[in-house]
Amino acid sequence: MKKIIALLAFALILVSACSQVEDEDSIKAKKIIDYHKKKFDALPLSGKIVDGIREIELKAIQYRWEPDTIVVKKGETIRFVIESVDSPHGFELEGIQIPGWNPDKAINKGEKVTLELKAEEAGVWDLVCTAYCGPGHAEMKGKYIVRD
Amino acid sequence: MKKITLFIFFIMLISSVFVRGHSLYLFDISLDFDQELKSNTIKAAQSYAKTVKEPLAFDLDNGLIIVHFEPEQRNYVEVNPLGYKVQGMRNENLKHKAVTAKLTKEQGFEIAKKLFETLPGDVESELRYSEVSEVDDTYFYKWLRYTDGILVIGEEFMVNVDAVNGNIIAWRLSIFDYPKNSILTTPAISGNVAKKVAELSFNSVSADNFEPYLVIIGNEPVWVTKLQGQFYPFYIGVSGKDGSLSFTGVLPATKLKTSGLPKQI
Repeated sequence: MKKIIALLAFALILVSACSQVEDEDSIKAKKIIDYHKKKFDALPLSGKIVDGIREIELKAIQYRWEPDTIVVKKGETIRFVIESVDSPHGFELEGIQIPGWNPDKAINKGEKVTLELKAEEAGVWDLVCTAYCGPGHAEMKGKYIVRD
Repeated sequence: MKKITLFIFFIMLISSVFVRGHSLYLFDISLDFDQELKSNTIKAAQSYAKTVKEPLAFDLDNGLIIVHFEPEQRNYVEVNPLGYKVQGMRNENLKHKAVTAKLTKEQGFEIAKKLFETLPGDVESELRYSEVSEVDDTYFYKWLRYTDGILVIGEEFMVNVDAVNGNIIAWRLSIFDYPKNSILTTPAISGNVAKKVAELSFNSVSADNFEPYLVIIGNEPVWVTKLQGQFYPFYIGVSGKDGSLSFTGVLPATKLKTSGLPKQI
C-alpha cells in the first residue's frame, strides 16, 4: 500500500512539474505576442488625409520601397501615388486586387501612377515589385498593414 | 506526351518558388533597362549553350534569369545576374527519341553525382542528397541545402537525367541567398514556446502529434507549427529569433510535407 501511495505521489509531482513547464511556455508566449502587438500598435499611420482619402506617396527604388511599411485604418479609402525612380518597377499588394490595376504592368522610370482601393479587411500583406528591376529584385519588399 | 512532361517539369520548377511570392517567378521579363546586364547575361548563356543564337525571351526564376533559345521551355540556360555564372539549363534536344533499355535509378544517380561533384566545395558541402523521382522516363535527383543540420527553404540542386540515353537534360542550382556564416541557426525561443505563440495567436490548438521543427527561411530560424483549424489543419511559421509570425497557411515549400531524413540510394 505504501508503495502505491509513493507511486501516486510521484506521479502527481511529475504531472504538476509538466504543467508548470506548460505554464511557463504559455507565459513566455503571451509576453512575445504582447511585445509584437505593442510594436505593431505603435506604428504611425502612413501618408496624409486629402479630401477624406488617405494619400500615400510611394517611391519604387532599386531595391526598396520608400516607405517600406504602410499602415492604414480599416474602412479608409487609400490612394497610392507610386513613382518609379530608377528603372521599371511593378506594384502588387499580394492577395489584394486593386480595381483597374494590372500588377504585371511595369511603371517605367520617372512615371507616376495613382491607384485607389478601399481598406476593407484588417491584416498584413506583402508589398512586392512585379517587374524585374535587377539582381536585387527579390529584396524589394514591403508591408501593407490594415488596422482595425 | 512531351508537352505533359514539360508541364510537369515546369510545375516542379516553380513549386518551390511560388511559396515565396510570385514576384520571384516572372515570365517574359525585359532587360532593356540595363544593357550591360542584358549583354553579359546573353553572352554567358550563349557561351554555355555553345550557340550564337539570339535569345527568344527571358524569364525570372527566383533570382536566376532564364535565357530561352527555343520556344516552350525546350532549350534554355539559367544565369545568375550577380557574376553571370550559369546555374542551370534545360535542353529537350538531349532527350531520348525512343524508349529502349532504361538505366536504373542507381545508374542515373552516378551520372547526376558527377555533375554534383563539379560544384564549388563550399556549395557541395552544404547540400545533402534528398530524393529521386521519375517523370516520363527521366529521373530527377535532388539535393537540399542544410546549415548546421537545418533545412534551408528553397535552396537546392537538381539534376534531370534521361533514363534511356543517360544524358543530363536539365540541372539547376538555386542562388544561396546567405552564406553559411551569416545564417542564424540557434533559435532564441524553444519549439514549445513557438507552439504556444501559434496557438494563442490563432486561438486554436495544435494538430495531433505534430512536433514543431526548425527550418531556415532567408537567414533566420523559423519554427514550423501546425494548428487544427476549424475545417482543416494549417501551418504557422514562428520566427525562432523573435517569436513573430513568419508565415501562415501552407508550408513555405511543398517538399516539407514529406520532411524527414533524406532518402539515400
